[in-house]
Amino acid sequence: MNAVSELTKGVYRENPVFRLALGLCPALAVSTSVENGLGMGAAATFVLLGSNIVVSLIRKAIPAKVRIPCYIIVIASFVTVVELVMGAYLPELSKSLGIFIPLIVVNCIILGRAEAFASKNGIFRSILDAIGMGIGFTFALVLISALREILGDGKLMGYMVFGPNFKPVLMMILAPGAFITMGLLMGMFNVIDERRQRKG
Amino acid sequence: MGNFFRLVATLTIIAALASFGLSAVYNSTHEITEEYKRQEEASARMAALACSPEATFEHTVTECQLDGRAFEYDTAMLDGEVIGYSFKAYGKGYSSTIETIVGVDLTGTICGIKITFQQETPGLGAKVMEVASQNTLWDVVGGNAVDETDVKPWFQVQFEGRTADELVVVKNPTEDGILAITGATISSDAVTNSIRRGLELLTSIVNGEGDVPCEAAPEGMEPVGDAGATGANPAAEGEGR
Repeated sequence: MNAVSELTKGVYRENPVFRLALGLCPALAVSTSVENGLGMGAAATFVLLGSNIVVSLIRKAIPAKVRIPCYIIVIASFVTVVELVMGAYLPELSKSLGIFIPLIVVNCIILGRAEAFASKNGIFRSILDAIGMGIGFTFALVLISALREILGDGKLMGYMVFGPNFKPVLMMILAPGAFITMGLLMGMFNVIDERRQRKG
Repeated sequence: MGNFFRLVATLTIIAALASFGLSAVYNSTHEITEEYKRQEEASARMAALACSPEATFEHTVTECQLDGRAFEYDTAMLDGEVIGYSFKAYGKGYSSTIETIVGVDLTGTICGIKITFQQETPGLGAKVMEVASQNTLWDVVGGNAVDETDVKPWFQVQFEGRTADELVVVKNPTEDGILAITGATISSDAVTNSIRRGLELLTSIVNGEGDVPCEAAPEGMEPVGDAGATGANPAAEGEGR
């Protein structure tokens, strides 16, 4: 697989949320507004990049039996770094993301990429993989949260999209709305893929 | 045995390196975070006491317990006279304890509140902090957006001018009360009820005659009994629940 394809696979072909169905918990919970989606996506991408680099660097030194605890320590450290730095320099975002920053630790995309990719590949490819997966995760979050914010709150990026008489579909901003949006999007991507395969 | 040792050593080394790295990051960000918190608290108190921005504060720790901690409040002084109070309320919300600074004048009317800490669900409970823009997306794209730097969080503004009796959560915008955040009644209740409890307790302390539920500050503090007696409070003689 060439380098470009390594980078782009995470965006669509192996999109972590829509394809691999990983990291669904944050994708459901934080996708209430585009702003939160972007913040969560950026934070997760940073952690993913850091952990992929470190895991790829130390992969030969780690005995297979303790690899998972080692990865968890690496990931948890990067998450704590994000939490501390965000609290100091982006306090507003850190407030609005609240509990979900510490929860990046258990985001299975990050552990999944460490185990499935970075522990078997060199540093260059691991970086590309992390960036691609990060973009893919952010893309998924923004897409879901844009739909939910528009329908459930009548807003986009915190600004009203419709006139004052628009009555938001409250359910879309609540948990069921997240499941429905995600399910429909997954289905949509499957249909697109099927069509493509039939043509090809 | 050699293998076992290697496992332990690897984990130990990695954990140690991670701790060193983290303490370095903590040291370089700690000051900034603390400074930000201090500023927040100060600006929160100013915002909460909007009716008397020039006041100086005198801190009092009471022996009363409210929501599991000692009830503390500040007496706002201006030119040697008591003009109001501010206290911090703690309400157990959906996923966090919501902390609010409340400013009250001598009649027991809320001047303003400011939420200083919450970790509620983003998009739902976290809206207790929301500053709702009146600009539409098209205004912003078209460059017609109105400057909104002074807009206050709508949920918190609702508390201004209310007394303890009027702190009732309602779900319908046509009713009088604190309009709950859609989908986040628990968070709305937590803020409102914690403020009402705090306000009732504060009232009974500063009006402290007769059956004050818990009075007297620790030694070395000024007795708080008479402090606010001049501004006798019409609000309920609420016992601190």
